[in-house]
Amino acid sequence: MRVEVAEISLVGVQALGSVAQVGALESAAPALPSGWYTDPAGQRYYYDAPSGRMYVYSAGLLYPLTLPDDTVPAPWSRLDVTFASTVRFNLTYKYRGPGSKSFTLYAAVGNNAAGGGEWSGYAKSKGISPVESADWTTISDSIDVVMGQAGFPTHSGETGAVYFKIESYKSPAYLDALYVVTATGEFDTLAITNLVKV
Amino acid sequence: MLVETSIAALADGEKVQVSPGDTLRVNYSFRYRIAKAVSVWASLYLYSAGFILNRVSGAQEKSSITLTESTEWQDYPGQIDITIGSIGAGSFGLIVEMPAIPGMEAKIDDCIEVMAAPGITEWIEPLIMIALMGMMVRMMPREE
Repeated sequence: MRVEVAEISLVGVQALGSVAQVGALESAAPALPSGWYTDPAGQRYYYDAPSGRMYVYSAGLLYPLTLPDDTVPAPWSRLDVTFASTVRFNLTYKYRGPGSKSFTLYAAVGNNAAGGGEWSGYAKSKGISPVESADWTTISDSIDVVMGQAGFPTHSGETGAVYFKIESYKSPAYLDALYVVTATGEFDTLAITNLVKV
Repeated sequence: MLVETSIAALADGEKVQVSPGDTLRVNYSFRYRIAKAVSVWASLYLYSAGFILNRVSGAQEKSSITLTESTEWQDYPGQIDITIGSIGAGSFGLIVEMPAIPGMEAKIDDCIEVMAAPGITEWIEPLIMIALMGMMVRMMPREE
């Protein structure tokens, strides 16, 4: 039976983080140096510290991690997140194929533009094993992504897009998906309301 | 006695009259999220060279505020008292600002009128006049 994945669709989002995490990780984290890094699955990456960009190593070449070129607006109003908090993305995908196969579901946040670079430290992978289905079946799943990791750029004050992929099949990039609140805090509308001569 | 002046009145050109030694309470508000603390300064100011804002150190107050942490936007109403020091008489602006946060300031030009402090000549002149009048009365011829 042939394996096919289609229509990865984002259906919801949920912030799981807490404010208590803000700041401590950010201030304690020494910046990671440029160099080779390996994820738990054995995939090798090259991290370029000056640009904050991550490259994936494949067949002797380095490829920049980028969001897809096709974009859609995120199906919610922009979610405010804090550095190192966790966001749960609820999504669906269509599958038909055997039940014994394992795949990798990958989620990443990146620059808010078509083909924008992924933000290092804002990605997560997890294994999935869809049940056997001869016809297209819509499967609901979720993936928890930590919003930034110690040592990488924080992207505080930036708006990001998010996308998902299962092996080589990609969702569109969901623009204006989230905004990383500045860890030191944000202020607006300072105004003098009145004066009193005491 | 408390004399309150609304922001609308100030915007219409009304000025608050103060003298050296007076205290001016500035009520202000802002919105914030995440932050735990912030510094707020309030100062009278003058423009020099037409556009350089010079804060008057003799009429300035600096305060630090502890904020309740929140991921949601919160309104914060605050107040800060400026004691008017020995500064020259004239018309001043008022600025409230967060010096560590770029762009976070509120100011009103020419809204404070600082009156001249009473000098020694202002209270001695009437005394001299009284003394002169007394002398003149003594010098007047008396009827026997």
